[in-house]
Amino acid sequence: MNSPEDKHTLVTPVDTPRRTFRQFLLTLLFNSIIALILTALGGQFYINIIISQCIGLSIFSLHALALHTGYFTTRLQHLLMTIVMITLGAMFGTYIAEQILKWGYGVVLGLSGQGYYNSILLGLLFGTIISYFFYSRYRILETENQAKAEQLARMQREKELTEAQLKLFQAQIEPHFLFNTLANVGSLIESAPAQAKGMLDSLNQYLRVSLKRTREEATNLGQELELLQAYLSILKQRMQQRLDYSIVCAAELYALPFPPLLIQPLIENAIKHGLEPKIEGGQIQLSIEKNAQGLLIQVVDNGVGLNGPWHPGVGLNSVHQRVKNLYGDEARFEVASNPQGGVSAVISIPQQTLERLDESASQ
Amino acid sequence: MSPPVSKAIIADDEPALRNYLREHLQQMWPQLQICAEVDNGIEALQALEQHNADVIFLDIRMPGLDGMQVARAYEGNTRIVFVTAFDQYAVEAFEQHAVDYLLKPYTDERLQETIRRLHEIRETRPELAAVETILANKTRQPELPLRWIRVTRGEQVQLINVTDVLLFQSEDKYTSVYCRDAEYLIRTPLKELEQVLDKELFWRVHRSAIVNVARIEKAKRLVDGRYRLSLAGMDEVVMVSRGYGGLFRHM
Repeated sequence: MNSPEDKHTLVTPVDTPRRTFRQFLLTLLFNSIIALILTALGGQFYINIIISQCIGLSIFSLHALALHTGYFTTRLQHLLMTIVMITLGAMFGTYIAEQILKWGYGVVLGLSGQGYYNSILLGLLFGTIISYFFYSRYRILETENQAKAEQLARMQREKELTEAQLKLFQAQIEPHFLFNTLANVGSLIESAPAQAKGMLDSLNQYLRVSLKRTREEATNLGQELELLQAYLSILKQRMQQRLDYSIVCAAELYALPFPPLLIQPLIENAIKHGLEPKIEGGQIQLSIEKNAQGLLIQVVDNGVGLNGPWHPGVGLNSVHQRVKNLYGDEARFEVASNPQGGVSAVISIPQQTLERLDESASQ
Repeated sequence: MSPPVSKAIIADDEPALRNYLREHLQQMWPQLQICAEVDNGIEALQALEQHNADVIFLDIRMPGLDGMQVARAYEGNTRIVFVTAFDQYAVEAFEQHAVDYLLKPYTDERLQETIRRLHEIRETRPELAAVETILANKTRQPELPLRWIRVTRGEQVQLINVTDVLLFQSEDKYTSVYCRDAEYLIRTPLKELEQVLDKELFWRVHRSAIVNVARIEKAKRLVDGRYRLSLAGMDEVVMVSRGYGGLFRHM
């Protein structure tokens, strides 16, 4: 978490046996090429190839072993380790080559002093070039992996967003609510025409705001409250003394840009799962406050609470996802039971987030 | 010919709908006597047991007990006509099982049809069990994969969205749920959680740990080949046991 390198550890390509084997083959190839170059410059091929293979393979093995410990995670650690391993490998490889030539071919190189250093220096030179080659390949792989991981994350976010939006539109006008309200209007037309008209007016307003909102990109808090007012007023007429509600929001907040269907599902849940199942009914309080900390939206009911057989469904999921998608991780959405019964659903959006969105909107 | 039905109960939580049904029944079926009107499931059940009525018009969504629960609990001979507003699952359930039901808002003609059926058919006891299974499968099961966890803190019950959870760790009898700024205990064992969580988002990395993949910040490989995970927003590290190491090898 401290260095920028660490952030990418998760997408660092880990050496699989297959990749290691491929690197081994490449090392053999490089060693042979070096031997050819040295032969072209002078000297005998079999001596050169033994020396270069010994040095190359020593560096390769030492480096692979050191990497396998897993201790070298940052780029700097890795670089230092590689330098040390190239030096050690060059020395060790030279020694081995000397022994092989001496016992196998009876060739005494007689590398002492200057000759020995030259051999190690050559080893260092080629070791560095080859290590750099491997390092670049590794960086390319790393970048590819990172890009893949980012793409995956982006796809996941997009998928969630579409899914949330889809469910949102499905959930917009609940058929049970619509048909039950129509049944009420129908049943009141003959016996209580004035009441029927009142309910029809509320339904009219509810549907108009609902439809208007699906066609508009930008909506504000005032529209959302108009919708909720119509919705709750219909339910009040249907449930009569079983429902009381209050909406508290300062008038200067009405113009605040506000996404649709954040508060509505919370109100619907409070009715459907909190108050409808409760015989004596109860209250819903919606309050919206803005202070120095930010925006606080609370939906509090005194219904049956969270202990029932009910399971959170589409409504809460879409609110949770939308809060995160629209306002980021600092915004909170909390659902908990109240000490005195019922449920509180709270959305809080920090001031900084509101300001940030404000800036990006005005740009 | 069966003897004419004469006593009825109306159970609906909305007064306007009760009034409407009563008035229309009185017009269309003058011999019928409404012996009780109730606005919740518990009173509906009491009325059923008390009045020995011939028919009950039973709303499904009602406080106390819902209409299905009432029907399940009642064992007498009163015929049941379900009354419900558009509810896709209920409608589907009824359509498959020849139960008499009225879909709100209903027309006079449809109510007349129900009355005709009540006259004709002696037994309209619905196949409740079958209907219930359909309803239960569609409405009562928690959505899978699991998205919300119910946690208790003292008296308070709280819902936690699984995407906010960093780590589930099994303790003695409980499972610890670690979030960014809080820790909770639940009774669901890890084994059960593993079954219901989204397998792409939550990985079992140890006998006693399930991590939220999206919150893994760093997976470090140790000398012995195991991995050590750091999670965003949590100081403690999580060890991946050898058997689960394969999950990280190809990341």
